[in-house]
Amino acid sequence: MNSKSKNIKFYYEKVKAILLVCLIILCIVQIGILWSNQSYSSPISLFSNSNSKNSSPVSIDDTKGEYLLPYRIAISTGFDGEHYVIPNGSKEYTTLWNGARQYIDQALETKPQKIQPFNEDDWGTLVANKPYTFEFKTQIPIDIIKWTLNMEDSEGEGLSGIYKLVICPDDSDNSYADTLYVRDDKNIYIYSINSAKNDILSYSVFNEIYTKQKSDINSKSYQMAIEKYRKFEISKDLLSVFSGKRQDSYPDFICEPISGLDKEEYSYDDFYDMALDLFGNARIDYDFDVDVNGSVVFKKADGVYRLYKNSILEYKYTGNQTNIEELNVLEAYKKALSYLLESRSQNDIMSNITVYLSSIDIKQGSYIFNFDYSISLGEENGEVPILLKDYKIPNSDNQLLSNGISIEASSKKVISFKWLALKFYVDNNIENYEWSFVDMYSKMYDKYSELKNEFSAKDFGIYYVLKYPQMQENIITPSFVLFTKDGVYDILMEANK
Amino acid sequence: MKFKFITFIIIIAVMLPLFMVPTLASSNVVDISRPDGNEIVTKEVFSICGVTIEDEAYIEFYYKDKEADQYKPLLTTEGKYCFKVGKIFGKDIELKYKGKNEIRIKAYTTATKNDPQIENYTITLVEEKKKENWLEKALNWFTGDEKK
Repeated sequence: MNSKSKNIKFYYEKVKAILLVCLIILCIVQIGILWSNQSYSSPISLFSNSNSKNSSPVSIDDTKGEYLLPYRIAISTGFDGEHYVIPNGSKEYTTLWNGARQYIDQALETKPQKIQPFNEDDWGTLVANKPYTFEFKTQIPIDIIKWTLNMEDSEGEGLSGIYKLVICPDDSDNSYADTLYVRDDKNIYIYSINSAKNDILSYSVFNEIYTKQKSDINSKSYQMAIEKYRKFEISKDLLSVFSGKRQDSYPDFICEPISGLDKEEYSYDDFYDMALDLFGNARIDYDFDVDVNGSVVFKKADGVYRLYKNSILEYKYTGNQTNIEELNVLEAYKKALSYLLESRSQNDIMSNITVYLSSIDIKQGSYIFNFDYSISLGEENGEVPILLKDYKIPNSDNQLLSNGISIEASSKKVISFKWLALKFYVDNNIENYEWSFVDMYSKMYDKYSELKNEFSAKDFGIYYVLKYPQMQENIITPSFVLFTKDGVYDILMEANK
Repeated sequence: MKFKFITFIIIIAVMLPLFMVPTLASSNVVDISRPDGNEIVTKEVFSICGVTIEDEAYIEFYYKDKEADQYKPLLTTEGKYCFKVGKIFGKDIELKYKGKNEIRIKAYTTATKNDPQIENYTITLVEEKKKENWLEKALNWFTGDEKK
């Protein structure tokens, strides 16, 4: 009897042990599932390490270059000659930018040969005369340039940032050395490269690209402001159609808000669909609700998202408030970029959008990085930019969202994030527009009394302008937008009848 | 005496703008940025650009016919020689002669049509020097292929 009871106890203990092992295995599996969901979805998760590549499904090191692209690459045959803008995203654009990156890398190993104070006339003359120009939308701090282009810390000594670049191989004004002219807000820095490692930007490449542009019916030559309006208050390197007219084709765009956003009341399914649109698989991390103003709220452990009726998605960090942190633009940029990559990986809203860093503002202990949207029209057709005008952020004392994306980040975390959560589709309807800078400016002059003062122009562009709350599907058409020292003015372009 | 003097000043102050404004307007209807003085150019098509000072401004282009020795209307590439212009303008013309071209720009408003602003320029069209890369030139010299 004793041995029988011992046997029963033995088997009982065995079953308990097996059960315990099963439970432990189940536990590990469960932790694995939760871990993978958490690290996949959360931008600033409790467990994820922002420095680790594994915390993000898209590696920041692999994609950082896509967020530091020149907004405009132009080639020029000389003063009073032809100037072509290379379509962003085209094969030529990539070739030229890769060449410029190598020039920058090589040039910044040395100190500038000469530094001269920035002067509109000198810069305009340079851009008109030299073959290649590369422009960012704003001055990019040198630390961000070095990190993005994988340069050594010691490089770029004495240079605060890069706003625009001019490259001239065999520069006759600089003893026939390959020359790089770098412009920031204050100075023009001249670098000589005596032993170019490559001939990506040689004259034969220039001729090849120039011939292609000249023969392409879609690409037309521009004129430069310094050639036509030197004595007036205008950015001298502005490229436009100053004499004669130009025919361009532009498609209509459909902009579509997050599904269900226009409803008065939301069901569980609506919340679910919105969360799916915004956060993809990571939606399970969020609790949803509606606040007193009718905005949809998505909450998680350390942050709150608000989706306003006008399609602005706002995130605010609600975790531990720390003391004011030390300013470090590169670390803050890395945080902002990781966050942006994470957000983009969760949905396909920005799948056809290229973003360009358009300004950097400094706050106490943090930086605000503003990015603009451009929508691709296909490789050879370039991109068209989106402009937000008078687009109010609700519950914010009439603050405006002027850029597609605005991220406030310190060197430790992302503090806030504002994003225009709209989907853009290229419509099949393509219209022809006849325009010139002169005609469009004159129309604006009649429309805006502010322009009645002296003539001034900082920049211009053909933009798709978003002015009104986008709650329902809308079709938008191109506008001519003028940037002056006093403001931004826009006028809808009229399609040819 | 004092009263008469003040009345005189007031009359002058009122009358002066009436006579001066048309005079000033006639001399400053447009501000031309191109041509930038007399120029030497290499391309036959030349742009005339500027900004209007007065609203409702008109501009006309003329060239001096060398045979007739008198100014004749100069058509732009759009086929017109007289324009009503907005705040800014930019028009392409084709230079008539190799060498010196005497160009006249006439600008006026409806009020100053009889007393227009007239600007004369000499634009000299020369042949463009072929730019040659020194490296190519040297290589061509070495290889004996100088015509390249």
